[in-house]
Amino acid sequence: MIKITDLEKYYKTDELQTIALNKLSFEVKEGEFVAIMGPSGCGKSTLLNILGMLDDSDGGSFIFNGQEVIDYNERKRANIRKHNIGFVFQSFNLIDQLSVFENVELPLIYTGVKKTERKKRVEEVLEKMQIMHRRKHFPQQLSGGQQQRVAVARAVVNNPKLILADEPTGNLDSSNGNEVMDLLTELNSQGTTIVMVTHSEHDAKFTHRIIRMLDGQKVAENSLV
Amino acid sequence: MIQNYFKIAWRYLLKNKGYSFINIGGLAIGMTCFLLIVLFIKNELSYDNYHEKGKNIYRVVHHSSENNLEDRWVWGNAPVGTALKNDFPEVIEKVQFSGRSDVLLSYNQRSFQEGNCFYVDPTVFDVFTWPLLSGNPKTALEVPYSVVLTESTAKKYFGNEDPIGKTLDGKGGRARDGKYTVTGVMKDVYANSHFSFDVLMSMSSFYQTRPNIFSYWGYVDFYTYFLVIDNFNKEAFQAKMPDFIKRNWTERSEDHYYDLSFEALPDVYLNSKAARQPGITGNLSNIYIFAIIGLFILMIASINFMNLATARSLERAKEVGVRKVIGANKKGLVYQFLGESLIMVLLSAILGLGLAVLCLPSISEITGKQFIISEIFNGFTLTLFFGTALITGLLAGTYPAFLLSSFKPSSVLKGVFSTSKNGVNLRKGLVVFQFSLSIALIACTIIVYSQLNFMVNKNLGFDREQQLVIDYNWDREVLLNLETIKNEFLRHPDISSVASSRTVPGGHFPAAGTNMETKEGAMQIFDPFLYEVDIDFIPHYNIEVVAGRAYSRDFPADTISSLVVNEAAMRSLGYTDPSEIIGKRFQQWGREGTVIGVVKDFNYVSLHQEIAPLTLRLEPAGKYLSLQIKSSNLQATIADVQNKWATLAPHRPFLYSFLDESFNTQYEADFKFKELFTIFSFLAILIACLGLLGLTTYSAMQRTKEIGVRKVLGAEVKSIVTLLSKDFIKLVGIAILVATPFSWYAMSKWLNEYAFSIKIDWWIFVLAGSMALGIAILTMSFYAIKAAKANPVKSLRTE
Repeated sequence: MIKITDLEKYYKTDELQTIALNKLSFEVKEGEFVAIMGPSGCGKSTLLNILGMLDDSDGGSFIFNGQEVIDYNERKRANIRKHNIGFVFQSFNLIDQLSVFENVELPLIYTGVKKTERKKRVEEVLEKMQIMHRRKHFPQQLSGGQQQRVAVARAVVNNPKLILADEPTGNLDSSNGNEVMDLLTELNSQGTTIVMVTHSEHDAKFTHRIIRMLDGQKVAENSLV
Repeated sequence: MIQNYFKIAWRYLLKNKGYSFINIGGLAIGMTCFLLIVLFIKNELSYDNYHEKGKNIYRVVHHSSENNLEDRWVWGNAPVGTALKNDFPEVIEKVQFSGRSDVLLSYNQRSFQEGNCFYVDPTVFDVFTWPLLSGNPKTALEVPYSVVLTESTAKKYFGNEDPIGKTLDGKGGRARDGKYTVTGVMKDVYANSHFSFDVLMSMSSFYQTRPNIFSYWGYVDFYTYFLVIDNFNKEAFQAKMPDFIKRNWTERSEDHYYDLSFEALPDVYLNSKAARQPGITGNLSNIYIFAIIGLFILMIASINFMNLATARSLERAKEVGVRKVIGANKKGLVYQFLGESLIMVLLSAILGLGLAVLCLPSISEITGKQFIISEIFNGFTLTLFFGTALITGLLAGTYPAFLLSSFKPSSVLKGVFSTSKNGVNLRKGLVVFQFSLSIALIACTIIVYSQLNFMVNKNLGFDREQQLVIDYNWDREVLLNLETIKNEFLRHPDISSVASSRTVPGGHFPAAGTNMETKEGAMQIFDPFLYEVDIDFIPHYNIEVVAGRAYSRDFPADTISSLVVNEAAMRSLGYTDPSEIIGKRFQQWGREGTVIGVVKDFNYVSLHQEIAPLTLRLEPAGKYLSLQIKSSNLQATIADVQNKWATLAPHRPFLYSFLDESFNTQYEADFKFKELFTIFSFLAILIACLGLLGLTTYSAMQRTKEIGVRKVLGAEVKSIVTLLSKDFIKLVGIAILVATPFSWYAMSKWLNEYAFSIKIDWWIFVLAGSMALGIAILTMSFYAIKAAKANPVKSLRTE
């Protein structure tokens, strides 16, 4: 599903240039659950942003679903993103002005799903995430665990092929964290490919494979299956 | 999708009430001002456009000197009208009005002095669209002593009776006293007319009384309008005038300059530069001024909108990031934010429309125009209004929309967010621009105030305080007993002096073709203005005599052979020393003799105009009695004068005014201008301050953590307020520098319209700048102090 080869990314300021990704290469197959680990500043999040087509790379190749997407413009990338990729963030990133239902509904609006169909699908996913009873609440009225469940619901409502999760349990206590990991595992078992950035060895154990990074390079890879 | 955008926009507005209030409120006030200014301008541009033949109606302008614009009058001689019609086939019809007359009209016991009467040709209703409600428009004003009344004037005399065929007793005016038969009733003249009247009397009444002046090219008392064919060429027509004048005014001497030009009726109200208008004219530069102010206000409100939207972009950044992550593209986001701007502007526009409706009565009162609601709710105004709203929304919304939609989700979702230097600079630039406009408006307001203050308080060269002026309108019986009446008033302990004259300062007066001896001994013809006064007038008004003497009872010959002139008249004949003209010969209106005195130039007309040459001719018969009152108890003295008048002239109504007030009515338009200018300036400044309040609030919010840290480290409230305010104060400082030359230039041009004006002092700009600075500091302190006093622990925790 994903194949990156010699991926490079630099950050430049007036005075210095930092290498975030240094000729990084790896592959993720469809249906895999991969953890990316490494110390702060090793380039994990940069990698995730590039995989999610939120950021440009400065060199290398990125093949997504068999297509080279490295040179795609913003419009094409947005199009691939909305049909194929779901995101889960550490800080949930729900829109404060929208209710739980409306937050989850948003990706369906962008993909042009009809209203009755949207209602059905949002309700289904909210049931699945066990937050149906909170559908009229606004994000500020929910606990962290509940917010992350809404975020996961939003990520999966479009049935994406790939979920990119950026430290999804980072802002949660251990029991809420475990719940979220269980949700992701379940989604993976239903066929969704997941790439997750994490600091937590505990969370990494839920995955099939761990890619370890340091200074923008892959330094190790452990298979857990 | 649109529903979703709308939902977000709406919830956002509700959640951020302060922000919404500043944006919507500010823009609504801006839109209200804009709409009211549009109504005002539309009204000014609508003058005389109701005449069906308006495009083919022209008016004659008489030139009595080649270059001096002040010598171009619309008030002129009679024969020009008939001659134009006889000589040129392109002139289809002519209508002449006499000068405005005061006539005492009586019917049964009802008696009013009508100050708004004109004698007019019977062709008037052929040319102008003034529909008659009753009577025959073709013949109504043919016969001598026939009169057409406006509807409201007819009601005043006849109530519900049919006025047609009834007679009114008329005294005064251009015709001999007599009985006028009502031959028509017309609709009241529309307010948007360059002149208006209540009574029209047949010109033949005037002709019957003084037929000779109708063929005399040198006698000035008529307004001439004429109707032309469709493809009339004004320039070509004008080129024929020198020959035309030569052909018709055969006895004109070589050195007597005279020429004609023509004004199309649609230009008369706003574009006429000629003097001696039959009504109040508009001022094109006022229209420009208000249009500019309207634009300024909209700009200030739009800048608030842009500034607040960009300053708050931080808060919307996360939303943008999330939307992009889940599939929004840039175009969609631009539409979303533009849509939000448009919703806000639409709300403001609706609110502004409501406010404008509420303000309509007040604005009618201030401008003296009758604005009605239907003027707002018509296709043109509404299209213009909502069109402007739409453009404002797009202009103000575009920059924030592009800025917000260009955020990179990978950065903003991580909270890595830096306000771009360009964005901050743009915001600063806009604040400077906004405050420059505000400071310029404050400075202009101060200058407008100072000028009007100066006009009201300037020493005019005569006593205008406590002058009670009785209008007796050449009443024959009053004239016969004038000396007795004056003496009777003088017996009152609170009346120190009484004088009679044909006019009083600020009133209407004629000019007189006059021959006067120059230094070299030659007789030179010129057209000085004429004040016909009695012996007591000059000392009564305390007008200073700089050479020779005033009229005196000790010199009986003064009544037939003496003349007093002002310094301007003396100078126009080439004299520099007033004593040189004493004893020089003059001929004027059948009188010959010598100049006996020179009075210091006094402002007998408004300060808009220069003091022109004036002769003060001794003529006991007049229109006004001026009484100098000593007492501070004016009401009691007026009552005494009124009682005395009732015994001395029981047949005449007691019509009086105070000179200082009647003189200042010349400045009515200036005062209206001042009021409107002040209101709009105030609103502009208010909107600018709202914006500044919003900006400081957000600037303080963004620096909450910094304020917290500084307080923990020992900063005091004062230093934090300074920290938050100093950037803005710097901007206001720059704005002062920008605004000063701009407003100095604009106001110098404005003051040029006054012959007597104040000097623009440097302190005005210092004051305007300090006021703006004061207002800005006050506005900013509001939030800055609150932020500075907040508990630092709390602010650090929120971060």
